[in-house]
Amino acid sequence: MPIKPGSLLTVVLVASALTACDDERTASWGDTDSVRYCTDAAGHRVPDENCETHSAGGNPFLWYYLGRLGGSRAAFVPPLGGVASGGGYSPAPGLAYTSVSGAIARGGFGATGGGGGEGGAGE
Amino acid sequence: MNRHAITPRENWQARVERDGLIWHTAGGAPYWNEAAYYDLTPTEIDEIETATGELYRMFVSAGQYVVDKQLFGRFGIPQWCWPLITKAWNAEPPALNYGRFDLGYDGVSPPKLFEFNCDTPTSLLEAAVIQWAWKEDVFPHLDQFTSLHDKLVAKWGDIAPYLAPGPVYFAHALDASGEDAVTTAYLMDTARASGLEAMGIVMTDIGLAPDGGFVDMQAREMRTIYKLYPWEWMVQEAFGPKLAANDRTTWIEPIWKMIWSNKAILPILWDMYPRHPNLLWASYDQVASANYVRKPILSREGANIEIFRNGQSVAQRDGAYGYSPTIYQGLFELPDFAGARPVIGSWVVDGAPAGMGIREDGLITGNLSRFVPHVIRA
Repeated sequence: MPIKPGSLLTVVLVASALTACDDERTASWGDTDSVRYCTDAAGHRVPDENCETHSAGGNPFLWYYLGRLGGSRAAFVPPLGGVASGGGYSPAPGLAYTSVSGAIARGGFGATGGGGGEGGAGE
Repeated sequence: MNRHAITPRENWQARVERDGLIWHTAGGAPYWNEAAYYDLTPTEIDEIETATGELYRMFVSAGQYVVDKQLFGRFGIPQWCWPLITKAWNAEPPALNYGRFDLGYDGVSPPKLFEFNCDTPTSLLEAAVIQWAWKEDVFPHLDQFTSLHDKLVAKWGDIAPYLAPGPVYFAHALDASGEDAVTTAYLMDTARASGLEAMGIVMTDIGLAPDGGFVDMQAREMRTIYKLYPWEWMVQEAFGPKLAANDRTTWIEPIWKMIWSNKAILPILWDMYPRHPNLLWASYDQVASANYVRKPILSREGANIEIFRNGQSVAQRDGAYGYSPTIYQGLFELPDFAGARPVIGSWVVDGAPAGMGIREDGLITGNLSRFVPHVIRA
């Protein structure tokens, strides 16, 4: 027989933009990848644009390099504000580095739907 | 089962918006239509509820049959996906395992299955929350067939211990109407109600890291992703092949939903359960009666469906699925209430019937059909 819902929650409609959180889980990177990300002077990760747009002289932002670290050890990219670790501030000789923002591909899902109406993804 | 006209609540738009249904009008006409309602007897509700449970059990058996016989080619599923589906079917990763059986029902003959929308079903908020709030305002002394909200919250709680630490991401397409966003936001709400952390993301923002991990906008790996986005699209898109190499992310719903949500399963059900009272005949290539429907196996929202009476086409809808293989299914004559033809959307959560919603349209129920609330007659 039918069951009544116990309570109704007000649906909180959210924009789909992500908000920052303190979660320390990070993306792991294979040890064959050579990646760099930007940190402030205290070693906290900041958006890569800070390192890309400031001139070298007196720049308070530094690239942090995660290269081929040897063995099976993986390097990790912390979330924004997280502490840099597992790499160093000097690039390893002979490696070409890609910034984190440039190393992540986007747009590989979602190309088919999104037009709304009968082209929507729901049914 | 009767349909009644009724005066909508004053400021009904604000009432439904307050509960989250910002997509209540489409094409200048109400999508949420409370200028009418249906009443059903307790016996009729029992019949729909029983059919829903029975159909679910048949889908379990049919899914097992498809996996055992590796019939995925019939479903148009790329071959590289077959082992992923087989593995997921056998392993049963965490899932809501929810869906909506679309049924033809006239209150006289048993409910008949049209299809099972179980990968990306919408009209969820309407069925779970909006029509209940309407009933409480208008017919507080009557009951309604819905336990969907409570069952979804409970199911999130059931699977929470099996999810990786961290938030559950809720991904959807940027649909112009907002329908997908509304549905996804509601599901986020149900997850939060169970204590999970939930975050939203649009499908195009999902990132792929060099190690094959799916990451959010801050390069954090996403270990659990609910997606209101069909698997048959995902596997064909640029990141699709990367799914095979990534077993770190749990997708809700799982990839095995490509079996149940595909209309190619309808002829298999008919073969396994011939003349079952809740099924219409269905075939890949043969018409078993003069009145029938031709459906693409992957169409959505009624697109590219054509209806035949006495062998003659009487209705069809254009769409983007002309490329898809088709199946034939017996025609069920929907009851006609002055041009409004109701289709029952009967919800199931992990095998348990969970309530229903009613959408009205013409001969073919599409994206702009109207959702009409219901009550159970005292």
